[in-house]
Amino acid sequence: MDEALFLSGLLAAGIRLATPIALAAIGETISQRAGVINVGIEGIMLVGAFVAVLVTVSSGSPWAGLAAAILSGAAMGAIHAVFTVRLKAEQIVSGIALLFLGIGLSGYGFRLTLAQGGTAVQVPGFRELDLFGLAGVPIVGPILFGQHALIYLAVIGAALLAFMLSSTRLGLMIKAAGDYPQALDAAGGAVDRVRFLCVMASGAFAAAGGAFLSTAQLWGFVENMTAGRGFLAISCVVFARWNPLGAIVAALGFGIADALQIRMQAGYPGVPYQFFVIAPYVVAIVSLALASRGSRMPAALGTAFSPQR
Amino acid sequence: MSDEGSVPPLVALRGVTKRFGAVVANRAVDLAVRPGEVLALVGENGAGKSTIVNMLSGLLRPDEGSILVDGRPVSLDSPAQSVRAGIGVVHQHFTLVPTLTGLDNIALAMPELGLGRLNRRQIGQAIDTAARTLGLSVDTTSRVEGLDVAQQQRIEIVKALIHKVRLLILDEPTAVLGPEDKAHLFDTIRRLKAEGTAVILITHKLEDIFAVADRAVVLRNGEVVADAPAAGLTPDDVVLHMVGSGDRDQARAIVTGETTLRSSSASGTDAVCRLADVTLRRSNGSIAVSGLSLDLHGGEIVAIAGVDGNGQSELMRVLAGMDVPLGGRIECLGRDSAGSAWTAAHLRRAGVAHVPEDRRRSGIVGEMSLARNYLLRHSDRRALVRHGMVRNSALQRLVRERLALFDVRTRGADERIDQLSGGNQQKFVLAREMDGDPRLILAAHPSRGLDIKTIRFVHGLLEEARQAGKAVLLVSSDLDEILRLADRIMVFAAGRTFGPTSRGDIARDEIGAWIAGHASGPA
Repeated sequence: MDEALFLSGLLAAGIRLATPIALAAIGETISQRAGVINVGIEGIMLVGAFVAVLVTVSSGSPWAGLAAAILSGAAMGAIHAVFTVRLKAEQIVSGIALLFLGIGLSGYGFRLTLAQGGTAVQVPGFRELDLFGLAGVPIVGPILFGQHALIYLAVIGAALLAFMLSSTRLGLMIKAAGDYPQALDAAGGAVDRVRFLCVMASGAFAAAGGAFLSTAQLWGFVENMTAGRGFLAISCVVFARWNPLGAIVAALGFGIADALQIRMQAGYPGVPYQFFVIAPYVVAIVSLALASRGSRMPAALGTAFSPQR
Repeated sequence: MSDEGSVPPLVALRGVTKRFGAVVANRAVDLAVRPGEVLALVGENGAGKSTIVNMLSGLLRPDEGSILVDGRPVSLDSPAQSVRAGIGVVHQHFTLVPTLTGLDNIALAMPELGLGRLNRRQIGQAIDTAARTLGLSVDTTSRVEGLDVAQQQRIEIVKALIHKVRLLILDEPTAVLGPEDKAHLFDTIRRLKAEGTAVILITHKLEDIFAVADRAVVLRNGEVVADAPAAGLTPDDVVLHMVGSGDRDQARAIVTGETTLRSSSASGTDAVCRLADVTLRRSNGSIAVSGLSLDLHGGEIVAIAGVDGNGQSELMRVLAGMDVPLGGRIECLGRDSAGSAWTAAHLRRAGVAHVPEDRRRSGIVGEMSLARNYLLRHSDRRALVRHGMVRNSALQRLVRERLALFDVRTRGADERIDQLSGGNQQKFVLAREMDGDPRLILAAHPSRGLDIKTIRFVHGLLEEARQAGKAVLLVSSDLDEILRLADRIMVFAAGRTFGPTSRGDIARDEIGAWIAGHASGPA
């Protein structure tokens, strides 16, 4: 029974830790399928995390905070889209700029506002749900029915995105924009508009991931609190071969690795804790090295589209 | 002017001029096509045919003059407007997304479906209906990247005709087809014509004009120089107009491709290259060819025939050292495919020249000058590079010399190579690859998309190379080219290989049957 409880706790915590990564990975999948790589989602997550806390504190509603975060993320995505899609700038360079913009904006905003008082502010964040009153059921209850609302929304979002890519004409347009934009152009589709919207959507998802981090997983903002989760999200996208459902499974792997290392820190006090903290990142590197062979990257990923006319 | 007759033109260009910077691509072009008419548009490379196609398909706007549909001026500012005007285009470079199925590619070109859920069964029925009226069978459920070019072209045609099309433009549709697929295409064109659809056929092949066209329009230097019923023309006439010389004998020589060089016998020479039980893999992992054994000797041209996409590209890539075979063994000029020296650099040093099929991707760097592009192949030459420094004056001198020898029309060795027409780029690649006395020449579709005069030039080069004792491996989907040049012929079709067999031992229709995947020819 002890082992079962341990596993149940590990899984429930793993899912919680995976969610910010999963949300960002869903967004990154949309953007990359359309042909735009966004390495700045880490920065967008930070802005999302900060805005969510700020608005949640001032309005008293975490949902208002989430909405504000999503808007700020879409706006950050739009900045990336203006440079990479409209102005055809190098996508990696623009993404790195976005990363530092996000670090700076969130840190500066935090010091101007919430950090002023010197005492920690109370954040009325999200609480776990109790779906159908089943959260108390042993073992499976906390995993399936006792999670945050955003977690269920993330799974639904990934499923909807997978459906959109496989079964709708918008999905075809997105895939064409990422694989062979000339074909979309010749078919009368607006390549740049599709890409612009996808990059904005990636920003919105990343910011939602940040909001989860600061208003559900933790209740508060700390500078640079994402600690590389945006980059883990990018590796999830590659690992899952640009499949949104696969991306959340990969994120779950990282989340469980993270939950496990926290428990192992307690179990092995003799070992320096840094060895455990690096676990999710080691998993990322090893899995990427194994997965990148023969991976099917969108063929036009990273290249700006200019019609020949 | 050819405005006789009572039927008004369906689509017409009136005094259309298009410039690109200082270059005039089309000058005061008048052109008209009537319902149910098949118009052949011919001309040398750079004569302005593609510019006309691009203006009619909404990709380019004319600088002067107007485009009329049903006698009314229209502005075709986007592909969507062109489709709305009833114009469908099958471009020379297909516009299919390789990772999508044929059905999804067609759905992508149907904006009227909106953005929502695709009813694939309904779309499939619409495709079937369109395909059936044309007598075409299309594979719409496989990913496009796994199909050969003939199948891809059929998808493009159905894609263009899924909307109500009154004018179908086919840009060099026969360049990639084998004889059977070509006959199918001509059938399709005749059916369209019978239904009252107008067809503009852009082609480099004179026989296409006489096979299906009602009228031929010849372009030279962007101007219409002839516009006449096909029935009243001879191949010599067309070439005379295209080339613009008054020399009828020269024109006839171009048409017949008479050559003074006879094939030399390859007897006694050791194999330059030996392939034993080779298996080749496509980039997507599927097997393209297996059990391929072939020897290449100096002084002979071995040709691989067949529809593109049956392993020819993979064979060339492997022999050029850009890939390794999945199975089997290749020995070439002292290199072994099992060893670590099977790279493009090693093989080139050993004497392999490569004229790649995709010139823009693996032959040249468009943004660089001709001189720099030349250096890409010859950077290990002491005369050109010493102590890591490029010796520009020597390079310039050599490149100028080679450009003159191969008659590459350019403003100079410093011009960016993407400013050149396709034919001149191809001549440049040949000039570069033939330099340095190669022993094995890999020529993939060396004359595709070139005009008839340049084709003769390219053929002459390959024949000279054979005469000089070099081994030539030619990949082509043009059966006439193969029959003209090859000493031995092999066919790749449907995962199988046929031959090799001597040119003298096989009839044309037997090769045609091989290309279609039948074991033996029709009786």
